Amino acid sequence: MLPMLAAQAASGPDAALADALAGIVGVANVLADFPDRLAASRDRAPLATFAFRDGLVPGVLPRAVVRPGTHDEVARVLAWAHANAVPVIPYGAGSGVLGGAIPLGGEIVLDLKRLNRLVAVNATDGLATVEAGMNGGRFEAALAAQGFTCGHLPQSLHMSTVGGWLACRGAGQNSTRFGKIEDMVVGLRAVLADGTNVEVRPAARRSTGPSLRDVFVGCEGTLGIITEATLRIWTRPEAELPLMLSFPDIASGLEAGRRIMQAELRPAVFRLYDDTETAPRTKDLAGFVKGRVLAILVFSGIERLASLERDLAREITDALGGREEGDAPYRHWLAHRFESYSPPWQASGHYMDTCEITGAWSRLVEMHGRMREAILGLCPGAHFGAHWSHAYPEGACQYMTVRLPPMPRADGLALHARAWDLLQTLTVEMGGSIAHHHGAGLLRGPWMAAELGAGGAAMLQRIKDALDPGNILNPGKLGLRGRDGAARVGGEG
Amino acid sequence: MADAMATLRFCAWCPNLCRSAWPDGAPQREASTPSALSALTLMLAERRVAPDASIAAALGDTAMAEACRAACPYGYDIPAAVAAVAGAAHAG
Repeated sequence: MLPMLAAQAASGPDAALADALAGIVGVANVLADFPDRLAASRDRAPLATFAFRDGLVPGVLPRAVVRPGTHDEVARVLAWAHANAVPVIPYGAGSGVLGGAIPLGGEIVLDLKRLNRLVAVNATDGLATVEAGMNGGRFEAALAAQGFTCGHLPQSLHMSTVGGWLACRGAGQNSTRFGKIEDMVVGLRAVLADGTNVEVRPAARRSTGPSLRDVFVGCEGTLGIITEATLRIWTRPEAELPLMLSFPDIASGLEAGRRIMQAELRPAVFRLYDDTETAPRTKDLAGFVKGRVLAILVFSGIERLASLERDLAREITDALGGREEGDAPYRHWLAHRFESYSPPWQASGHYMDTCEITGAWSRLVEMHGRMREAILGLCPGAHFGAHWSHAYPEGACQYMTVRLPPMPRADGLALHARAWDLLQTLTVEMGGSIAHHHGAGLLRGPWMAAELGAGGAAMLQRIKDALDPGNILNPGKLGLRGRDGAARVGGEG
Repeated sequence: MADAMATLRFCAWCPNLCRSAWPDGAPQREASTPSALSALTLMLAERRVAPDASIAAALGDTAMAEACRAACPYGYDIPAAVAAVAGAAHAG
């Protein structure tokens, strides 16, 4: 990590590079001043925030920010980059939290936000075609104006782009009903490292070998750059019916989640909070019994069907000690569901991070207990809270918040790195997946081999080498090989 | 000044929740987002970057921050905080 002053002093213009790129996208769309390069040197990885607040560049400054306005310009920039061995990082709104957009050495940042059109809405087939750089909140608003929803409503809705959703294989808060982003992508356009165009034509399904779509969805720009997607859309639900519950403990709440999902009920929202996360949400709730844990379920769609699903779910939860509660926590969640809780903590010098993993129903109680014990054992003054969401018949996402108190930077980084190692290692040990929906980026690289297995990791590298022999597409991410001389980001490795 | 610094310190680590207030037709410059402006102003005030023409130009480009002001869920006025702190930093 380089002090910003030193990075600024060394940030002289790269005129030849800027001229070449200006020939493709126009002079106004090549930004090479220090403030533009500094802004593009981070994403929302807390590790990048820890660096920034101490006046450090997390990795390096990119050489320039390039803003193509069409798919063809993306292809021409990549063909140029391939020919000149210049690495490229695709960039949407920079909302990723795993360092997937952090430059490590010699990159240009390909800012896709000029590709921001809603291209078409096909109401008959239930499809919307949208460019990758469109803001998520504006996309959903444009659909809503026509009576539709994409159903992909992540916390980052208003601070992310559609392309970012695909790149990191994201999931929205209503995913238990509408599916994750990979369930919604019916077609896409992308560009390979050498500028080759690839189009996966929209079709409800095909049986023509491995899915090319899935080469791109989740690749975080390492195998190709997505410029446009055709997504499944839905008529906006007639009703959204909440079911606010408390359970005696997390074991009974999780068992309720398992039974609901395995009964083929499809709540749009399933959220169960541990005692730590329950407390602030229920402190003003009359009659809430201390020690119980909170759950928010929402059933949506045709009112009669949603109502029936809610009744059936209630029968399941009643049998497990579930108790209906007032809807104040639901209303609060609705009002704040797209906000971030971290700024005040990062501003006050804490080392706050989140880690979302996937666990099987049979292991989640143990996962929570062992992970909490590990974090509090590491740092008794730490905050550890968790909730479960994004439920499946087989398991659920366990979303953990770890907050270390302010301390000297070296100590904070060391504890932060150790906390990540504990959580990810325990996840693999207990049969889960190290990442549910934030992606792998840079920071999960050290655990990718454990996640994929040695054979799987080698296969991913071979795919990368075949598609991008010059290693120019977002090098060093997803646990893939970096370029020689790449910067190291604190906490990595 | 302390209030303005606190505002910037919050916004600098916020992931631009207000971003969708910016119209589709206007090109987005990442350095002009409220969070990037706040971070740059903080760095200038804390002398972690040196004032130069490019920083002055960036801090003067507050159109996006103005457009996003009404959408800030926390009610902060970032253009005003940037002006107060950057003005003092340049003067000092």
